[in-house]
Amino acid sequence: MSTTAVETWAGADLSQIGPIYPMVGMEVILFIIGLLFWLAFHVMQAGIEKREMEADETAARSPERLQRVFDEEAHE
Amino acid sequence: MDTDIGALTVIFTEFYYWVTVPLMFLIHVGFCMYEVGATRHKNHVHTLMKNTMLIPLVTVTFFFFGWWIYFAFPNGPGITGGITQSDNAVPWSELMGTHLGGAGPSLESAQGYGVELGNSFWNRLNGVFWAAFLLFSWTAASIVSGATIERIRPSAFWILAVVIGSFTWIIDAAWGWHPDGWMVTQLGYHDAYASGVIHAIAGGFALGVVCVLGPRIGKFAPDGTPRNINPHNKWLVTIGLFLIYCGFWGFYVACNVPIIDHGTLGGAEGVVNFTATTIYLTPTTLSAIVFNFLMSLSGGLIMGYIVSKGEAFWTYSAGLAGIITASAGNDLYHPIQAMIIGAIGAWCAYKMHFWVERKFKIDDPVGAIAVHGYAGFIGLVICGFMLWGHPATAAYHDPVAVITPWGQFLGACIMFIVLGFIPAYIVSKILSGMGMLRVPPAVELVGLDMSEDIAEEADAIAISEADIAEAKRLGLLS
Repeated sequence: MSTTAVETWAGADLSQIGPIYPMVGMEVILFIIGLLFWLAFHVMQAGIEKREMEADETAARSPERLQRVFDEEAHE
Repeated sequence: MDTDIGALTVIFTEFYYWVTVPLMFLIHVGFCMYEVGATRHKNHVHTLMKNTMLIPLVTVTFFFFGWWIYFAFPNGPGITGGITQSDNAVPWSELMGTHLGGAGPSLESAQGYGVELGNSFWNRLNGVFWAAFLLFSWTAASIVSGATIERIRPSAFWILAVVIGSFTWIIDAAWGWHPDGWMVTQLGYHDAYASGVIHAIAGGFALGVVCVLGPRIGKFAPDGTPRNINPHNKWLVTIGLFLIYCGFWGFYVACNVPIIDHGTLGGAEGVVNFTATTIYLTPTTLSAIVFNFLMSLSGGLIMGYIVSKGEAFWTYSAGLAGIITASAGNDLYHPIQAMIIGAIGAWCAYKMHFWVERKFKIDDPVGAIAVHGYAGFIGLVICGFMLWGHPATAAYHDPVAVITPWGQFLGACIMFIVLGFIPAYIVSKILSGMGMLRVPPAVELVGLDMSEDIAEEADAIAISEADIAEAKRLGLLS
């Protein structure tokens, strides 16, 4: 039993062997899963970025912190 | 793989492209170092992550549709024909995975491009050739990254990275880099090492984004005079550029086909002539690359040092501009020609960067638009004069398209404006209209890394308090 098309390499004629990844024939489903995985990243990342920007903006309302940033910038 | 020469050709070609991939990886390492070095401390992590995450995003989208576009769009479609056979490159093809060349459930469609070359040619080369092109995609997107540092939202940049990395640049590759691309066969477009195909388009794209994005806060005085926001770490910038030079070797090598019988391409009938060719399948040698890469780099560096009066950042960048300017014709130039062309490109890039900055208030923190865009554009035009009349198409094309100044100028405009500037401007306008393009001014002032910095401060205080408590328990502190 093998998840691939190959059960043994003994006596194998490579010119007669095609794809050797698991689940040959499921490529379209794999593609759809991959596509969803990619799009999900953009959706979830937008949420992460929104929260991060809000935290940054809150920090920017502190004059002491802002001054510290500008002081550091002046010495870079 | 049933003959020794066939097996050697395939395995050597497979290994050849494989080697280009880690070499080109260095370009991305260099871009990351370069951008972080050019960025102020308050934006370091975001700058790094912005450039790093384009790697997976462009990679997966290039797998999903970028590779297909290269094979499907050489005719436009709609300019010289329709969509061409490309079933080797659709993401559900058996050839987009480990394949030994024999029969599979969908053998006919999986054989795809290059099947007539035999020896399981495309079954084995599809992945390494895909990866080499993918690394070009990263480079195109990464060039844009540098121009947008310190004020673009990462989410917006990553959408733009996918647009150029997996869509517009690969359309230009199908048009102007595929041996049967309509720009090659109709315009005689010649761009052996991607002055336009990568650099002009990426420079034009970066300009389109930056026009909408606007300058960083403080970049221009109220009277419009530009202020210098100097690199935070010049060492990191210059070593980054050095690494880009190193990666460029892989870039150049990946633009060639290492070994092919010219007889099979339409050369002298019955004569076996193995040779390296350009991506257009026109003969060249690896020696041409070595001569001309180093001489154009040298021309750029020498001119950069003089014109910038020894300023490190611009001397290094001018070296890059030198290579980029000469790249279009570096398969054929004499090395001294490559050196002079490199020097001209470096001078133009430097002068145009500051002129555009003053005149149009364009803030390009790393000079990417000049070094890649203007130098690439100029390089294409120079190539049109230098190689005027040389065949642009492989031997099997009839009629032969020849290189001309007007073909190259039109090609440069297509790269820089049509596929670079315009799509970037439109997508950026849409993102800007949705409030997704630029970080809020308060965040820009305090720095994009602030929330991480605050979290790290809290961690450091907690650890410090724990250490103090332990020191007290041991009687070391009262």
